[in-house]
Order: sequence, then structure tokens, then C-alpha cells
Amino acid sequence: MSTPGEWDVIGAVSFEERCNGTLETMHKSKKIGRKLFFRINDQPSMHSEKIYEKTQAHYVVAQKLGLQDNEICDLDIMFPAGVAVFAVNNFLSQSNGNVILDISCLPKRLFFLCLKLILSNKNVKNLVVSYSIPESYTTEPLALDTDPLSTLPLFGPNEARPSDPQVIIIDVGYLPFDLKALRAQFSSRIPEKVLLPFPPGPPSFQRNWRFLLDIFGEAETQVIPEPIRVDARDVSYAFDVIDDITCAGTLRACLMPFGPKPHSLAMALHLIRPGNKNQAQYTQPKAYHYDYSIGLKRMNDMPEVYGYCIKINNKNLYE
Amino acid sequence: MIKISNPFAESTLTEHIAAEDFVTIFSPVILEEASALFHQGNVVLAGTPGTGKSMLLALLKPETRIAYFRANADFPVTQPEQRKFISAGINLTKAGAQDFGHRLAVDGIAGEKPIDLTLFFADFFNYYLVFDLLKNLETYLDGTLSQLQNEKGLHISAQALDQVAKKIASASCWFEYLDGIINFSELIKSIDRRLTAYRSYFNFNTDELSDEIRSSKTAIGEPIATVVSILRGERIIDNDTSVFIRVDQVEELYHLEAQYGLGSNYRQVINKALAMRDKRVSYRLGMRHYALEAETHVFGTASRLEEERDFFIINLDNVLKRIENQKNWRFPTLANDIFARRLESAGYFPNKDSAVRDVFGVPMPRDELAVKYAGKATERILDLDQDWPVAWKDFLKDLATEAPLSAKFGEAWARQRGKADVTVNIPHKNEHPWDQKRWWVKERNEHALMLIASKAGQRLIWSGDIDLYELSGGNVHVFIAVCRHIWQAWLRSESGNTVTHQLPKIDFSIQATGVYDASRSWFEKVIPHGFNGSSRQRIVRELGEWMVKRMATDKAMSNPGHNGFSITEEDLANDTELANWLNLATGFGDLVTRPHTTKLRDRKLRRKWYLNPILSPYFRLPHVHTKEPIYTSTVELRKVLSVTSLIGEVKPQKRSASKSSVHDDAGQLNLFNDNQNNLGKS
Repeated sequence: MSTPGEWDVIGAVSFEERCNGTLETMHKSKKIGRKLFFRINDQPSMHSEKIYEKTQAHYVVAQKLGLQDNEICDLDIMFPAGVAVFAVNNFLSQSNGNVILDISCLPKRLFFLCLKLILSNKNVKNLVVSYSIPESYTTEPLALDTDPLSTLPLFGPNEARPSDPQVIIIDVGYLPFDLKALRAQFSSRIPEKVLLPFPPGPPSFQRNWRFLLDIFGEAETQVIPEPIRVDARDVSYAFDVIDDITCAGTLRACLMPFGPKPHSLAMALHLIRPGNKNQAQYTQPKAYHYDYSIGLKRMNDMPEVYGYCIKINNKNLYE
Repeated sequence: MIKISNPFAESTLTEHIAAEDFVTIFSPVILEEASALFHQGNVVLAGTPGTGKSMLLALLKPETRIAYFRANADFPVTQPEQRKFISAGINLTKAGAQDFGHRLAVDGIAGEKPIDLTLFFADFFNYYLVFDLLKNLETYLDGTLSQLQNEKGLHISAQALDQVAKKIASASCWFEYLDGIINFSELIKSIDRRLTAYRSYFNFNTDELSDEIRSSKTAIGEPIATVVSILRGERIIDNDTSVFIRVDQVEELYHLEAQYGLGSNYRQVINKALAMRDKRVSYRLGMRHYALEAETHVFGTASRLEEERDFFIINLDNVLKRIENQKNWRFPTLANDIFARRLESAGYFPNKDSAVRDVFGVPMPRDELAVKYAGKATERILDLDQDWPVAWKDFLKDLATEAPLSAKFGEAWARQRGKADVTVNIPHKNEHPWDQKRWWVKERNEHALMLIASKAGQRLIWSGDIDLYELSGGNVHVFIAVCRHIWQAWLRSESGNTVTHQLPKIDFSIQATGVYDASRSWFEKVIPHGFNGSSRQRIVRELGEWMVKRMATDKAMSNPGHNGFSITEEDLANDTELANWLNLATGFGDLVTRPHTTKLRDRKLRRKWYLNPILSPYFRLPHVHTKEPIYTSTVELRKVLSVTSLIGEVKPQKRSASKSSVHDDAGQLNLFNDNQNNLGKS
């Protein structure tokens, strides 16, 4: 068990350089306790070789920052939830109660799962979610072979016979998906709300709008809902916006976390909130571009890492 | 009033169409080919996406029937005995079938054994269907539906449901789980409780599934059949009222099995329900071909499902695909009906028999099309051999100014074996030897146009009713998409700016733009969004470019059928990896396949493939299938596809035991090989 004052870290060894942002930041403070780092095996693709090389290189850096072999858990990208649940619960059972979850490089199907388990674990008294900013993203397609639209592990329907949502909230990102596939599941004309990361710098701006065009009909055949602009790194505001749309959780919503991770975090927090009626739908890519994100942004020679306090002294700030 | 909008903007996806809209949008034409749907016995509706599987299954839903009743519209099934049915159903995607993989134990780590997960799934499936049937019956308690009750042979009252609930609960199929229930409401609650317990367990909200549930798992298909028996015995359902069990998105089970390396147990469970051939209920399964063809084993037995005996297939692709005799082709009638219904909804008054032709006209004659492509600089469309006599070259140049298509035929004719003397014995005007060969010309029309357009730097043009039907390949979803893009192009044009009640006649050039937009959208957006979409897209790209190259360099037009390829069944059977990719792409409608009668002496059974016709404009490839396709082999095809990184040039002999999973092809094989398990790789 870690000593009081130390923080246990859950993160990833990844092909993205930013995977070590949190470790590097904390390394200097010498407050890192135990670690659980997931190494995700994508489905083999044309990028596999480079993904492997980059992951290995970042692993070497992580080792210099204190990561040990026995702190790594290998998972396939489409892992059965039970394996990850076992690893996370095992890790949390020996936690001193202070946990940092670095979501920078965790696939959404894993980071949502981790967050749910951490927040439902009575051992955990303090939770901070961290998020590192890369220098840029590739302009090529970010991902390959997305899975069909489905619920995320541990976030499946709760009702015996799932009811249609009363509102669909789409968070806009770089990964296009087939909105028609979602509509195929629901039987009525459900209002759609769009969260747009704002302010974005070019080329993100164009890319986000392309995403919107992509999902809301081919050849400009449909009216795109007026987007609700939300700062890409503002979790609490994103949470409040979702709260407003769902009338404080009284409306049943289908959340679609395709946008920046902090927005997805807000969505996950909504889904975890007790008594919520929401569900999340996502198309998990099975392989990524080796330059999904490039570099790790720095400020004053320190990685640009954001920390979001979720639970402080046993108080979940988002309940 | 005319809406300034696109009548085809609304999705064709069934679940998205509210039941009330279904009444106006659904075209009964397809029912003529699917009447088996309303007969006793199990029916599998197989087809690629957009062929109307879910639409037909939706016709069986109580809410659809009620919508017809409330709208005072004729239910499209006319025979009274066929209108006497009730149904229960499950959409496996919506019901969360995927969640059953989450509790799988891997490498000894806590979880459930695959076989136990399968049995849980079967139990969940049973309870879900019974729950749905009972809730559907409850719907008819609404007093305004009494006439519909009579028509369906239902005798439902609150009292009757309470009485029957006790009998249902005491049936032996539940293994005492429902014991002690005294009314309908309690029965519903108990079933709900069990389904919710499964939800909780697979969402990891609880750590355990109770012993009460574990020890009372039901046998596949038995509960719903028992409940129907009791309902009939209690005269809540007439004996001659059919009970249909709708199971949609069966391919979801294929994806679940592939994702977690679960063999094919889940599909086998459904097969077992079909194999029971229980006359009390009739199953209606909606699935893509690959989900059925790959697995016909019956769970827990050594037997296999047999078509005609255990089930009938309505192959919607076959029903609607283009056939030799165009007069008997059903798709144009269906497409025309759907088109007219959409226009009516938008406030137009189309002629129901000719709406498509009224708006889009007929295809442009091929010789006129050639003139369009050639433009004024007709010489550029020719590819003249340096060695040809000047007189022959001048003849072709001259001919091209008047009849570019004929000139292109002349150019090819001179290159064909044994026909080179035409360059010396130049024919008189209107006595061209190729014009005497009607079939020779007919088979090469599209190839010649492709070469002309290519030389002139023009995009190929598709327009007119027949072109649009053929590009749709018998798929309603594609047809609606093509119409949507054309209409949008028209709305953008000057003529589309004027809103009138008159049905527009859309110019061929606007149609061509819309068709290209639809084709590009299909390749760039529709294909990548499906299962393994990026991989399928790469396969389609390589195959398309390969065939385009073959045809574009065939100046003699010796092989006008090289927009398709053919492989022996034997060759294919020996390369399951390649076959699986082709089958998957076919299952999603990226490729179309059919048996091929060989011209070779070996008389070996062959199969041929073409791109989905809607992809032809994107690749600038003719969509018409003519003889003969490329006779290829798996070896050559592997070379073509090796650049995709999905398939190696050499067929793997055995799987390598590589140290790193990223260099291991196991994950890839796992998508198709039911016995593979790629879990636990490190």
C-alpha cells in the first residue's frame, strides 16, 4: 500500500507521447504511489509496426519515470470487461485512497469503466482525473475499423426492455461515426443536441464542422442543430450543460462521447450519477493511427497537464 | 403545399420511422415476394443492409398494425387469415446482446465460462421474448382496439390476463422461478426483475448473479412456446392466430462471438430454437447472409439446420436483383412506388405508375452520351496506333466528329485478332463491319463509353430511370440515397430554386452530379462506418482500381466484362482468409456475388464478384455486367490486395508464434475463425 500523501496512478503505456505527461509531472513531486498502466493491443493494421515501436519507446521513458513491469496490464482493444474490472478492483483494493486517473491515452471503453469502478469503490477518498495536451493531431484518419455503435462496457442498458431516449446529446470530435446507425435503434424523432468544443484553433475548427457535416446527412440534406459551444477542457461546464439539457437527469438521454476527453469525462460522470436514466453509445475504433496525437505540449518546460478534482475527502463533486 | 425540402432526406431506416409514418412510407410491392412471412413456419429474411429486412419485420410489430388501424388505412396484407397474428420480438443490438461478452473469464481470471454465458444468453432471450409478448398483449386492453382484437383473434381483458398469469407462472419450464405469482402485474414484475438482474450483473453493478437465477435457466425456445400454448388453451389467442417471434440483427451475435472468440455458440442457440420446428410459434429472423451461412449447427447437438425443413429463406437480394428479363424485374415497381409515396408526402401529385420516369426521364442513348463526352475536340477521344495507315486514321477522325461511339468501336475493331485488315480495306460510310455485329457492340457499349470519357477527361454520366434502378442494384436504401443526392443537386441548381406544385423534370447533368455525390458518399462514408469498415473500404478500393486499370488499358475492348472477377470454388475453399474477407464485403453489400458458369474446359464451379453498382461512378467503371469477368486466382487476388496490409501475398500455412501481438495476424483471423481466441495476447 502507498504511504499517506502519495497518489496511486492509473494510466496507459501508449504510442502517444502524452501518455507519460502525468508521470513526468508527478515524478518531480515524488508523490507517486502504486501504478496500474494499461498497454492496449490494437487490432493488427497497417499502422501496427509503428504503433509497436512508439509504444516501446514511450515504455522506456516510463520506466525511467519509475514504472515497473509488474505495474503493466496488457489488454486487447476489445477486451472483455471482466479482465479490466479484475485488474482495476485489485489495484483499488490496496489503495491508500488517493487516486489519479490519467485518461489522456486510455480508450474510452476503458476510461469509462475505470471511472465507474473508482467512484463506486469505498476505498477511494480522493480522485483526480488528469489529461495531457499533445502538440498536434495527425491530419490523416485517426482510427480504423470502428466497431458498430454500441454501449460501452459497464454502461449497457439498465432496464429490462430498453426505452428510447428522450434526447440525444452528441459531443463533436475528430472521429466521424454513422448517426444513421444510432437512429436505426430508436423509434421516434428524438431531439438531438450537439456539443461543440470551443474555442477551437484551426484546423480543429474545420475538422469539427466536417464531423458535423459528416454525421448530419450527406450532401447537406439535413439541418444541423445549432451547436452548444463548450470549452474543450472545461469538464464542469460540460457537465452543467448536459445537466441543463437533461433537466437535471430527469430526461432520459443517449450520450455520444465523440468529442474531447474532458467532455467525455463529463458524460461519464453523468452516467455514473446515482439514479441516472442515461445511456452512452460509442463506436470504439479497433486500431488507431500511429500519429493519432503528436508530441506533448509544454509550458515552462513542464508538460501541459490538466487535473480535474472529482472526489475530495469522500465527496463526489459531480453527484 | 410544397415543402422546400428534400423528400428523400428522411432515413430509410425502419426503427427511425415512427409507426404513423410507416403507414404512408411502406411499399407493399415487396410483400408480393415475401408472402411466406405471414405463413406458419420459420422464415429467415436474409439480405444486405437496406434490402428491407427490418422494414418487413416491423410490419409484424403491434405498434405498426395499430398505426394502420388508427389511420384507418388498409393493412397491406389482404388475406384475412394472414392478418390473424400477434408477435413478440427482440432486436439483438438494442437489447444489448454484446454485454454478454463482458463477463467472460480469460486466462483463469474471474468470470464466466463461455458455455455458461451462452446459457445465460439463452435464458435472457427467452424471458425477453415472453416479456415482450405479454406487454404486447397488454397493449390491446385499450378499449379502442376491440375491433382489431377481433380481427386478430384475441380475447384480452384484465381479468383474463390475471387468470392466465397464474397458469403461466406455474409452468414447469421456469424451474419454479415464477412460483407463487397470483396476477398479471406480478408476472410482469418478476420477469422484469430477472432481466434487470442480468443487466446489473453484466454492467458490473452487482458482483454476483443469484443462485436462484443460476439454478433456473430455461431451455431455448421453450418458455415462449409454453406461454403461447397456455394463451391458446385459455382462449386468449385463437388457435388459428399465428404467433411470430421476430429476431432482428442476428449478425450482432456473429460480432459478439468474433469479438470475444466465443466460437459460434450464440448463433447455434438461435438455430436450436428454429430446429425445434415447434408449431406453436414461428420465428422470423432478420440477418445478413454471413451470419447464417457460416453457422448452421444446432446448439448441443451434432445436427445442422436444413433449409426447407427447419426454415425458409427469403433472400431479399435475390428477389430484387437485376435479372436477364427486365420485364420480370420487381425492383423498378418497388422503387417507383417508394418514390411516388415520398413525393406525395412532400406535397406533390405524382403519377404512381411512372413517377421515376416523369422526373428523371429515360437513360440517354449511348451514342448521344458519347457525343456529350467527346465535346467539340472529338479527335482526343481516339487512341490511334502510330503504325496504322494514314487513311484509316483519317477515317476514324472523320467518323469521330459525327459518331464518336462508332469511331471508338472502329478503333477497337482494328486491334482485335484477325480484324486488322479493316485498316487497309476501309469500310464505306454506314457499312462498318462492327455495326453488323449487334451483340459485339452491345457488350462493348459501356466499355467504349468508359474509354471515351477517360480520353476526354469527363466523368461518366448515369441518368434516367433504368440507369438509376440499375445503379441501386435492387437495394432500396441505395435508391433513396441516389434520389436524395440528385434532389439536393437539383435544389442547389437554378431550376430548383423555384418552388411550384409541378413535379420537376430533372436535367441529366444534375442527375449525373447527384449520382456521383451518392457514389462518393457511399464509398467514403457508408462503407467505413460499418463493421470493419476501414478494412472493407481498402479492399474495395484495391479491387476497384485493379479492374479499372484492366479495362482502361484494354484498347481492343477484348474484355468488356473485366469489371468483375471470377475464382473457382475450389481455389476459394483452400484460402479461407481471403474468402472470409470477400464474404464479409459481400455481406455488407460492398461487393455482389453470384455463381459463374465457366467458359473453360475444366468445367470447374466458379463464383464471380462485382463492385456494388453504386460504386461504379466513383471508380469510373461500367456498372453493366457482361461476359466474361477476369478469370483470376486467389494467388493473383492476394497480390492485388496485399497493399491493404490485410492479406499477405502468400497464404499463411500455419500461424506463427510471434512474440508480439502487433506482428501477429491472430486478431485478424479471429474475426472470421470461430475457433480462434485472440484474448490474453501480450
